[in-house]
Amino acid sequence: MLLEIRDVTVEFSSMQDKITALSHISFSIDRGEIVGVVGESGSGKSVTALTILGLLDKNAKVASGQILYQGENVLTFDKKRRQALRGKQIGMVFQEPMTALHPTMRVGNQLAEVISRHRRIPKKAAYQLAVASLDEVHIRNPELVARKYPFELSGGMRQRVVIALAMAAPPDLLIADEPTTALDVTIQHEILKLMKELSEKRGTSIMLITHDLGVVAQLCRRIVVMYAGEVVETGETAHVLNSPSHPYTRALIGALPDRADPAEPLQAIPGEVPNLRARPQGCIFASRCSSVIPLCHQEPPVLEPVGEGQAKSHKAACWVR
Amino acid sequence: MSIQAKAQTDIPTERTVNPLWYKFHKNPLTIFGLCILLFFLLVSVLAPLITSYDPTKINITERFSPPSAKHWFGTDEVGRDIFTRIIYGARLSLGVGVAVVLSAGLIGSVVGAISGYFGGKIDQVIMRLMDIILAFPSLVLAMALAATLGPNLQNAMIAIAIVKIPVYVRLARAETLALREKLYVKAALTFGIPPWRIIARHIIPNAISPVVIQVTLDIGDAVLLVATLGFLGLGAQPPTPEWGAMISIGWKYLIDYWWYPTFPGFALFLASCGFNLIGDGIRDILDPKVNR
Repeated sequence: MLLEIRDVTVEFSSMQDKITALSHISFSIDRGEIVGVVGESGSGKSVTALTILGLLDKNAKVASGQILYQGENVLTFDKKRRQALRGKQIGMVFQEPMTALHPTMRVGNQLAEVISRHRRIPKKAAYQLAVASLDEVHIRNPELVARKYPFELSGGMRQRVVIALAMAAPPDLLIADEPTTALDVTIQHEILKLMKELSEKRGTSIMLITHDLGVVAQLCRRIVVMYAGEVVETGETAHVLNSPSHPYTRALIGALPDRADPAEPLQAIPGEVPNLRARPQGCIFASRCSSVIPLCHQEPPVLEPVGEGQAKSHKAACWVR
Repeated sequence: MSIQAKAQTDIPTERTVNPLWYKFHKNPLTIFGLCILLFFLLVSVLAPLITSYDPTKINITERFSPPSAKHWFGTDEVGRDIFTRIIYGARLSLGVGVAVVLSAGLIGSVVGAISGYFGGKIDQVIMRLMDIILAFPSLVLAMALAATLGPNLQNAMIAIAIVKIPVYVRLARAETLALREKLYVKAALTFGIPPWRIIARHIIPNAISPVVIQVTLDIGDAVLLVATLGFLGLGAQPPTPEWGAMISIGWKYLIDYWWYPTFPGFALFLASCGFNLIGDGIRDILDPKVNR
């Protein structure tokens, strides 16, 4: 097991109140595995990523749980070890390739800086590797691109550069926070293909944060569905998408536009994400759920296996079966 | 490098008139200031070629000669050529002014970036310290510092630099606060770049532009401050050919030998005028609210 998140709770406190952004979430990522983390905006996907990296803002606090990286709890690491973990072992790709690059530094120099840090080699040699790494992320004419500034590159190119930066170490785990959301559809496909290729070539695990179930179906072996800071369903992608057992997952799948019948109106999930300042006593999804029973309002459900045999890793947090 | 890559970079890019330069040369006063400055720059660089006199050589037989073909601006109480001293003084004043403001700008931006980036207690301590410096009128504080450190040119420079630092700290800090939240700074963290390197490579280069503008605005002020301290006897000491020090001795002879304090004073006036015109011009050009 490369990364294991156990019962992690993250709270943000402001002057007046406390928001529980993550509530007792647990999931794991194996070596070389691509895990999709899905959920709508505000479900805690990005907070999870920042918690793993130790880059939460100062007003955030990890209230419970452990994050085990190769068996060690990173939450107990001091600043220096945390710093060493970032980039070297865990890389991150951001949603906005437009702003994730240093605007006044040539692309090659940015890459060389990171490479020379991680591999402890002189800048000159690092620059050669930087050009090579641009080639690796399928940028045509890497020598030329290395001498360009980020504003001279297209969105897709920039995202490739960001991926090259994140993979520079190379890390064992890559966290990709909606890496294709800001790109157009054809480029999206290429970037995803690139990430999959790099993962297979180097054995890098990827935690792919997205709200696009189609992407997950294509790329990920396993899926984690999050809602309002909780993991509501997890399991092998095929099991979860073919026989979703949490009403939220069903609703998410139902909300996908139907390609067969474009005339059909889009399905939305009624209601909105509940107020995280005051979590309800029972199930967090109860207020929007279509198959709610009285028990849902009284007690929070726990993540339990729903399948038999092969599908045993398929778990959901729901009272209704 | 491949031949193809080379070929692509060699394609000439279309040149258009730089809009900043356009605004700049549309502003006659700024151009006038620039001319004054270039004049002083030229004169100080070419000083030994322009005049054959030694700025500190005493020549008692020619003391207090009025302006003439031989001594354009006359001579002083020990027979030194005032024109020569003013020219060498230009070297000194401009050099010192630029050096002081540049070092204040450099130190100020580093301190400001650190303050803004780390925040918290470090920020509090640094900013309150700067507030203390800012609470005093700059001339009074510079005088006090120069007097405490001992009256010579080097200490006067240090004093003026200290007085000038807070402005740069504040500017750099304000920029840093905005930059710190930028995604590329956070991304740099995730790529494993340590904080001091992020400050040096990612924050300061992007926070520097307001500092640069402030530097150009401040040089004239610094030149004037150097001369003021010199005039008060807290800066350059005789026989250094420094404008302030020259006026300080010369004003006692004003009634009998008018040329002695007048010409250094005029040089000082012209120089600070030039710097201020340029400073105002640059501010107008870069201020998006002033549209002309």
